Amino acid sequence: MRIKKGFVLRELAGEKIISGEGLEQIDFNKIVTLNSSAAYIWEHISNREFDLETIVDLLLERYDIERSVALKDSRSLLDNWKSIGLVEE
Amino acid sequence: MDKQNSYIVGGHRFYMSMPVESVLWNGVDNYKPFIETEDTIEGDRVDTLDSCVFSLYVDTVSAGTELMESSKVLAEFDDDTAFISVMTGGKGERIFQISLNREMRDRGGLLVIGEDYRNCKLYAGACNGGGHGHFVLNNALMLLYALFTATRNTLLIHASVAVADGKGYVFLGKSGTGKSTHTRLWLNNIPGAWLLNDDNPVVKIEDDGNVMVYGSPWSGKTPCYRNEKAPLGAVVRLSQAPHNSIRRLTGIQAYAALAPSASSMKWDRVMADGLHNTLSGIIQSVGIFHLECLPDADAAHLCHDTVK
Repeated sequence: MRIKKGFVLRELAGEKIISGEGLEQIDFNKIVTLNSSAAYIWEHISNREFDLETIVDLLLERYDIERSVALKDSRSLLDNWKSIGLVEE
Repeated sequence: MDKQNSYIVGGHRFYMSMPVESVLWNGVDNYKPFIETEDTIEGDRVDTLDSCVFSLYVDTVSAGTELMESSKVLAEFDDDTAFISVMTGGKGERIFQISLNREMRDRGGLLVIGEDYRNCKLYAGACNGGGHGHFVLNNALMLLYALFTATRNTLLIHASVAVADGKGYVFLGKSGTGKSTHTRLWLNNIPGAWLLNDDNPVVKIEDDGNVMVYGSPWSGKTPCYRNEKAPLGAVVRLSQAPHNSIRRLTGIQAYAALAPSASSMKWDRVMADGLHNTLSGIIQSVGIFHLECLPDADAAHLCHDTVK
């Protein structure tokens, strides 16, 4: 899967946000805030194909956590992004 | 022979020229307060221009049909204010087809952005002059203004503005929310309040960091074309409610309240970056509020007492 075209990561008052800016996202009228680990993931997958395992591996690379915890967090992040419409298969 | 005028809006100069005999010159009174110079010229225009954000030449004969045929549609915007089709031309030029609504598109104007910002052209031959011609011309100029000032700390914003106590108060909201109504309530209830603009004022972060709001030639249905400015006092997003209450917004909420009202072409990365910088700068130095309100005098008093 991929991050859909037209989304841009921006910084606002010390926080990371996603806004829909491309022609593909003309009707996207939300601003999505990302915490630091979500922003870290975004920065590493926004321009390429990825899957659940990619996110798990990225979390394990950066944080000292159990694989099961990384898997659970990755699933919940991905579900959230899918439900908002940031991700396409 | 062409007539070529320069105008200054929000501190930015732009040029508009068209044949002296064009009927569109009748009915551009909304630009009169903003005229800087008026000239009659012959031949090449571009090289004689002083520094400006853009220059528009209006071709009142051609409809730009050939250009249209070699262009590709990228996106269409059809809201309650205008129909705009975004296209890319055969040579990669950016082209906008502008009309009142989708049904009128055959009588729309074709705005072509040249490689040189001083070389923008509006083909208005299909507009048949008159009312629709002016609609297209006004929208073309607003679009160019938003496009070429986005990187200059400037926002063309859909809002109504009242000035009170020497400061400008900008009221935002979706169409039909009652921006103009709330402004009227200020004019009638807040001593000394006056209307700066009722539809498309300009907000700008000046070089010294102060944020100002300017009147413009674009004011919707209310003929209020004041060439005046005031320090921006506050921005208030309105929504209708069965009560009056107001709260201050900060950070992302403030950003999200302001962003949808800015005229922009966010799909152009350079513009989007400019817009983001300007929005960030404004919310850092000006109070942004959300007012839930009834259309009554109490709403104006509550709002004024809170934001002043």
